[in-house]
Amino acid sequence: MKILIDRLAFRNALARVEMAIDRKPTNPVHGGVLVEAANDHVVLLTNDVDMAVRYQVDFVQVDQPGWAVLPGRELVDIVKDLESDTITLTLLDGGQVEVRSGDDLCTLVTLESSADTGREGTSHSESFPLVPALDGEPAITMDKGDFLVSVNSTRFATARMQDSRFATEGILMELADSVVTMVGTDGRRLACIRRPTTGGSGKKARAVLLPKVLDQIYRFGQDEEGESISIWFLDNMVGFRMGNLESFGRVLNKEFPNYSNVIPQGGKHVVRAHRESFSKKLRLASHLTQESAAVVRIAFSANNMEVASENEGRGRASANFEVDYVGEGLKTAFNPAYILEGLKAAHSDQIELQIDDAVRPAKFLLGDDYSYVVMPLSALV
Amino acid sequence: MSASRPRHVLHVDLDAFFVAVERVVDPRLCGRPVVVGGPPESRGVVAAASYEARAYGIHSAMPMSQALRLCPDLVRVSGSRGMYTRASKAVFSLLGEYTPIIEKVSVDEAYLDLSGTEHLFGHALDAADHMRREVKERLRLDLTVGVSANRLVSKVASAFAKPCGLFDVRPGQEPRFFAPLPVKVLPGIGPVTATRLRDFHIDYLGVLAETDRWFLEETFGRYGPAMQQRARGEDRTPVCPPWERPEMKSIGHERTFAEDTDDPRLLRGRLQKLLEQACARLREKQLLARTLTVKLRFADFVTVNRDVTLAQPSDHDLEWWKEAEPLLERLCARRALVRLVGVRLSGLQQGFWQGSLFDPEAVAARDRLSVLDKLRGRYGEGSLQSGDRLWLRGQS
Repeated sequence: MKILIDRLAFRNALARVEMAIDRKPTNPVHGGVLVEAANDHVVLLTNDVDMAVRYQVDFVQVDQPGWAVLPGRELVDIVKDLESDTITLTLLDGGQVEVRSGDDLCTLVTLESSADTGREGTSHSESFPLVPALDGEPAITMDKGDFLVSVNSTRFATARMQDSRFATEGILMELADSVVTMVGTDGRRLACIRRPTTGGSGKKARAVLLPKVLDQIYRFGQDEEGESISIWFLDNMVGFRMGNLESFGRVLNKEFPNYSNVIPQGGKHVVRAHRESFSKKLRLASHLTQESAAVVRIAFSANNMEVASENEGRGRASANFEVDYVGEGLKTAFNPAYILEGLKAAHSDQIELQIDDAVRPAKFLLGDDYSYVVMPLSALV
Repeated sequence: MSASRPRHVLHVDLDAFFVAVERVVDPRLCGRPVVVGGPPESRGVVAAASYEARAYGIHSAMPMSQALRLCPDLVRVSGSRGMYTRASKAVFSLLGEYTPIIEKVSVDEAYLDLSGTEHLFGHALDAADHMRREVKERLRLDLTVGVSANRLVSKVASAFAKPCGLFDVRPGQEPRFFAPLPVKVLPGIGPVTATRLRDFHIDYLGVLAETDRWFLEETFGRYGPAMQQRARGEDRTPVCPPWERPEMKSIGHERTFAEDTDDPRLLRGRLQKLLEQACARLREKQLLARTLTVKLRFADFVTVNRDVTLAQPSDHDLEWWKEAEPLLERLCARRALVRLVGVRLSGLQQGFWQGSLFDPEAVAARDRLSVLDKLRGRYGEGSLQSGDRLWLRGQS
C-alpha cells in the first residue's frame, strides 16, 4: 500500500473516526484504524463495539492499493502535528508503515496489514471488527437538519448513569407513519421530538441507541455533503449515512420506558413565556440555591411569574417577569438545571408551560412537535 | 450591631426531663424514686433518674441491675422516645416566642440569646423567670435557667441553680462567681485534666485563673491559656441557631442485643427497626440520604461495615431496605454470633424530593409514609411496624 493524501483531508477524516477508536481493546487490533486504499480513494474504519465509523476520503493518489491497521491514538496524534500539505503513507515489508510529510518522517508498526496476509490489494483484515455495507433501501431518509435538531433536542435529557430497569442512558429512535420520534429521558425529565421522513422503506422500526454515535453524527454531520441522512436498522445496530460518513451505533437490548404515557395532554394551567426572559430569571435564581440540592420555586399568578430560590446562610433571590397567563395561579418547584437545559434547546422564542398541579409532571412546549416533560420537586414535609 | 451591646445568654435545662414527662403522664410516679431505661435482664442502662433516685447514688448510664440493687423500691419506666420528642418540641416552641436565636443542644437543653429583646420582655432575668413559670404552668415541667453574658457562665450557672432554679451572673461578676468553684465544673475539664490540675494544686477555678500563663502553656499546650480564659468566665462563642449551624453529616442508630445471636430473623428485624428509626429521623429533619452503611459487631468484638450508595437520595425505609438486606447477608458470612447491629445514613441533603416520571407509585408511597409517621408520632413508634420486626418481641 502506498498513497499520497492531502494532509487536511486526512486529518479531518481521522477526526471523524477518532471517537470509535477502542481505548481499552481486549485485542490490540481493535484499538487501531483500518486504512484501506483502492482506486482513487481511501476508507478509514474504527470500531469500539459500541459504535463504528467508516469514512471515505476521495481524490487520493493511490500508487499501490492495500490495507493496514495502524495504532489509532498514535496515528491521530502524529497527523495532528504534521505540517506539510501532503502526507505519504507507505506500507513497508515487515509490517511497518512509513508516514512522511515534507521532511518529517514517522514509522508506525502495523497491528495487521495486507503484507501479513499476502493478499495485497484485497480487503480485508481478518481480526479487525468489520461493519456491514449500507446498501439496499434505507428504512428512513430524512432532512439532515431535522435529524441533527432532533439529536440536540433529546440528547441532554438522557441519563448519565445506567439504570438497572430501563435503557435511559440511550436515545429512543422510532419510525411510524413516516414520522421519526426521538426521545431522551433520565426518569425525571423527558424530551420528545417528532420530525417527518422524506423517504425510505417506511416500515415501522424502533431502536434505543447509545448517545455516543449520535454525538459523533451531530458533531460532524453538518459538514458532510448533501441535505439528507439515510438510516438503516440492522441486526443489532443502526447505520447512518451522510455524504462520505457512515456511522454505526449499537442497539441497547434493555427496555425503554413507555414514554407516551407520561407526556401530559394539556394542563389545567397554561403559561406562555418569553424563553430568554425565563432563562435569565432562572439563571439568576439558580445562583442562590443549595449546593447539595438545587431548587427554584416557581409561582405564577395573573400575567406574572416569580422565580425564587434560597440558600440557607448565603441569601435568597426572587425575580418576577411578565407572562401570558390567566387563572388562579400555582406554586411549584423545579431543579433549575433541568428547565435551563430545556430552554437552551428550545426552537422558538415563546415557550408554553402546561401543568396540572405541583406534584404531577409539567410539560413545556419548546417548538413544533417538541415537548419537554419535567417532574417537579416536592417539599419534604 | 454595636460591639459594646450587652449580651444576654440563657442556658435552659429541663430537670430530670424523661422522668418529668413520665410524671406528667402518670402523676402516681411523683415523689417516688423513678428511672427511665431498659430492663436489667437485657443489659439495660439508666437513661434518666429522678432526684429521689439520685439520692441513692443512681445516675445516667448506670447499668439498670446496679440501680435496682442500690434502690430496691426503684420504679423503672421503659420510656417513649416519641413522647419525649413531642414534649421537647412543645417546650422549644414556647421558648421560641422569646427569641428565634435558640441553639438546641439536646432534647432537654438549649442556649438562648436574648440580647436586644429588653424592650419586648424586660431584663433577661425577668424574661427567664417568666419563661420558667410559663413552662411550669403550661407544660407542668421544671426548667432551670442560667443567665449571664455568655454561654459558658450561663451553663455553669444553670448547673448551680438545679433543680428548678434561676441563677443570674451579672456582667463583670464572672470571675467572682467562678473563683470558689472546683475546676471540674468547667465544661471541657474532664477527670484526666482535673487530676493533672490537682497534681499542681490547682483545685479551684480562681487558682486556675491566677496561674502563670506560661506554665499552663508548657503543661497543657495551646489548651492551657484557653482553659485559663474560660476559668475567668470569658467566652465569645455565639449562640448558633439552626440556620447558622454546620450541616449534619450523618444519622446513625445502633443496638446491642440482649444476648448475642445469629438468628437471621432477629438480625433482619433489628436492622429493619434501626433503618425505620433512622429514616424517620431523616424525614423529621427534612433530609434525604445518599449512602447507607450497615455495621455488625460480632461477639469477639470484630466489627465489620458495608455501604451502598443510591443514584437518587432517599428517606424511604423500604427503598433502603432493598439495599440493606443484601448487605446484611454479605456481612453475616462470618461464622460468629452477632453482638450489635448498626445503620448509618450519610451523604445528607436538604429539602426536596424528586419524583420519577415512570414510578407514579412513588408519590403514593410518600403519602403513605407521611401517614405512617403521623400515626407513629401519635401512638408511639411501635404502633405500626413491619412484619420482620415482630421477631423482636420480647427483645428490648
